[in-house]
Amino acid sequence: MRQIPALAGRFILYLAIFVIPLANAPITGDTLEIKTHLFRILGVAAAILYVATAILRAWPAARLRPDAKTSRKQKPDDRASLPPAPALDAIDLALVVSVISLVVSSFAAESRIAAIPGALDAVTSLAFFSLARTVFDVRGPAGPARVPPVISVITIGSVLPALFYLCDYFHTGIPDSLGNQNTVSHYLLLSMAAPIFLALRPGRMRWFGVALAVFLLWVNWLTAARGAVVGVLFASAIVAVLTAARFWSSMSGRQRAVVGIVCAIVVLAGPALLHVYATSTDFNVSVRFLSWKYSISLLNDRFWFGYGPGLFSTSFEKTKLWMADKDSTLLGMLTVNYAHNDYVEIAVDQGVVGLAAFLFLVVSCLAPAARIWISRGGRPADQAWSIALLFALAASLGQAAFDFPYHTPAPRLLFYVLLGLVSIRPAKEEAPAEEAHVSSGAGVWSMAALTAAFAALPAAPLLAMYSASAISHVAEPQFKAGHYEEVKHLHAWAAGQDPTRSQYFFRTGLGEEQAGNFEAARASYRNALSLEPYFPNVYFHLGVTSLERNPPRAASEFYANLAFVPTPVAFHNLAAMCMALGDSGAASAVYREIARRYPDDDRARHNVEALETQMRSVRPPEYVRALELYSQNRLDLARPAAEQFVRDNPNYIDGVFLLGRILFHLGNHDASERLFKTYIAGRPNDPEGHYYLGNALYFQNRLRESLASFREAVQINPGSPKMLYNLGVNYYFVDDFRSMNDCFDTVLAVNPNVSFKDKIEEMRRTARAKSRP
Amino acid sequence: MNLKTGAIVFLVILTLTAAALGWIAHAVQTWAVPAESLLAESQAANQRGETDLAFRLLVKGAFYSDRPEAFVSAAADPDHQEYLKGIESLRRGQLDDAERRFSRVAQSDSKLLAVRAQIRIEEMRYRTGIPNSARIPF
Repeated sequence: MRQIPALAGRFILYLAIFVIPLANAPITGDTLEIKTHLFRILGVAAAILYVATAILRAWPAARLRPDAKTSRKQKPDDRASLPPAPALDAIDLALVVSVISLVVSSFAAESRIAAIPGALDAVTSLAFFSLARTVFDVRGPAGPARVPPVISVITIGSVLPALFYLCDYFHTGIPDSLGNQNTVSHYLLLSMAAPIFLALRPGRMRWFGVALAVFLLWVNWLTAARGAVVGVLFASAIVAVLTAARFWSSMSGRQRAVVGIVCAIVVLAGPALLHVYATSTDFNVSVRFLSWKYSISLLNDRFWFGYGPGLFSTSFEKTKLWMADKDSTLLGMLTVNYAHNDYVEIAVDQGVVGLAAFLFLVVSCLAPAARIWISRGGRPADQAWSIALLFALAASLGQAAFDFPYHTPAPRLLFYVLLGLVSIRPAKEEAPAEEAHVSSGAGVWSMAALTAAFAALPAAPLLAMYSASAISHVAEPQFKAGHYEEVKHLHAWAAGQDPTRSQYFFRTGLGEEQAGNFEAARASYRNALSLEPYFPNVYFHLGVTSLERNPPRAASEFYANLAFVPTPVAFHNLAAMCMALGDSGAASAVYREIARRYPDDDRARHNVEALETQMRSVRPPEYVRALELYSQNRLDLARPAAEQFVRDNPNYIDGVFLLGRILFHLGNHDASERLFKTYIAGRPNDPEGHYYLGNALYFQNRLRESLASFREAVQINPGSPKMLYNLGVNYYFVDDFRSMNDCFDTVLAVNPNVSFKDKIEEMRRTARAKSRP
Repeated sequence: MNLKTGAIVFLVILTLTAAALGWIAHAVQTWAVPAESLLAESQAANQRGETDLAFRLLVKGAFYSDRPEAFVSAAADPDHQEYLKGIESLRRGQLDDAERRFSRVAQSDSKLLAVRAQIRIEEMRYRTGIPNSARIPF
């Protein structure tokens, strides 16, 4: 019975290698979602089975045999299937350091709740590693003397996705059907371990191994994932150097010199080759470079333990706060999901300690394999095993400098399983195959499958997370169509199911905002911010919910939004809030900036002009007081106020005009005439000045002069009924009835219901009477 | 690899990683938020009449450049200077000093500046302002 947890562990690993790369049914909005959840569920089972196996290995066998009867019934080879736990080594230390860094990073995260999924991913990765290392422990009898079942499983697990990919490739070009062509590439590159092992180990499968390796490389090439080419180059260089070291002792001095020079050329030419490759293909170096640059800049804060596992994407938003404008045009509007360099991403997630722990784990696992290859230790199959896994893992580690294999479920799983496999020490002597007696019997495997299923039960709460993404997927069409209100309850439900994702709270907030429930919207937005502190859109929408009721708050929230990324809508809203706060100067400055940033924005340009005109005409309070009295027709009070103002401000031309109008209405036409002339000298294009001067002259019976003034006024403003009417009246008194009629016709054309229509008709009748012979 | 060797290897890796990433992170930040060009940009914005942008750039520099004091002294208006000093204190974790300065600015005639200072105070005192505003340059 002691072998059951180990067999259940193998069952879980085989299942994961089969299912996770293929689980791409378009069930959720995110094609990677289902894989992510499967990875976590199977990872929890792996963790439990690892713990059970480790306890059984560490537990003295005698304690499990309470009586002699049971002991006699036990199979003699049962203990051999579960060898005793070895002494602690560097890999155990690496695991301990990794777990400590993970725990500290999770607790120090800005949002511990949001860090839960990432922490779960990291824990399950380590669980897959530990389980693979434990249940495939072949130090004793078997080793890779014959093809281990795990190699067969990896072979089938690589061929199926490759064939699916090829079908889609020839059907639709580079497809996304398996999640992402990069993910396929990451997975196939790691799967290269199987064919290389088959090709290198002695036996009949060599040519099959070579053919499979070529096939996987070809499919990988078709994925157009340039990072894979980098990975293969990197792994080839590593293997070349290790192979040179392997044959070093058997080489003559001249051969050593030649090999040394070749190795040096390969190593030195590598970066140059990469440069040529990167600049001669569509390998998007500039975006990657920017992404690395700003990701690393995040480490100025939270240097040792990072922002929290799995929180890279949300943390990257923070870099937009200090991103240069030219970089912002490229990255500012993007959500950067991956750093495109897993080492940088691990450093951002778990800090420098987390990255060092990861590198230490890798080095402590790969170093013994390299030593076996160089020293030709163990059996030929062991050497093939070591170099095959080393090549695949080195290729993946090379690719990880440009892509994100350890942040997508399928390649992450395979990487940690292979790392676990390569960490197993080889057998020191030939022995009969272990697998035969361990795996024999369908009953034992059924028991193992049942145990695996039970081990997965504690992962049941994760189904709620999955149901949340399924609910969100149901709401997706309505949401994309902009009907946020209609699906707000679905998003609220999803947020209840999975409170670790800010997206659900944000979308609920959008629904509430669209429904006009601003307080509820604000609460949802604040929940989103508690999970994702640097979420530019949330700051914008917080501002929108305050637009009507709280301009000061709205202005600050738009400022916060603009600190991340400049958008025209946020700018316009900010300017509107400046206006609401009565700060025309600030509003004008903002509109001016909009007009420069977005030259097609006519509204901004128009607003700048309007605001500046308005600001130029800021009126002194004494003038405003006199104007108010004039508007109220309290001319006796308006006159001294205006006279005083003009005495104090003789150059304020509007004051002169106001006093002129007051005097005109008080009947002092002579004085008003002088003031109007002064006003016209200062503002010759104002039709009102000419109109009033015409009136002042008309009342002094200087009809020829008044006619000239009215004509001037009409010329400047040909659509003014009052000016046209006065001009017409003036024509009447100089007996120019034809011109009078033209003026009146224009007045009635502009406004057929003008108030002095009756007077016009009466004057026309009188004019007709006068003109009769 | 035994435990002792493993411990030494880990310490070597940790030291190298910390030194490399620490140096790069600092260099990138200095490179990404260059004080001189930000100050020049702010001055140019002022000359174009984009006074709001000019001040936003000063705030950004006070928050993230390696020479915050240069941005404080670049502000012409005393209220603006006080606000930037508050930002500098916030950056250094001197919250009492920051709050005192923002309280002064909140009485300013410059309405928008006063509003921003008030919202910052509300967040510092009652957590009712703008979440995470201690990190956001506005």
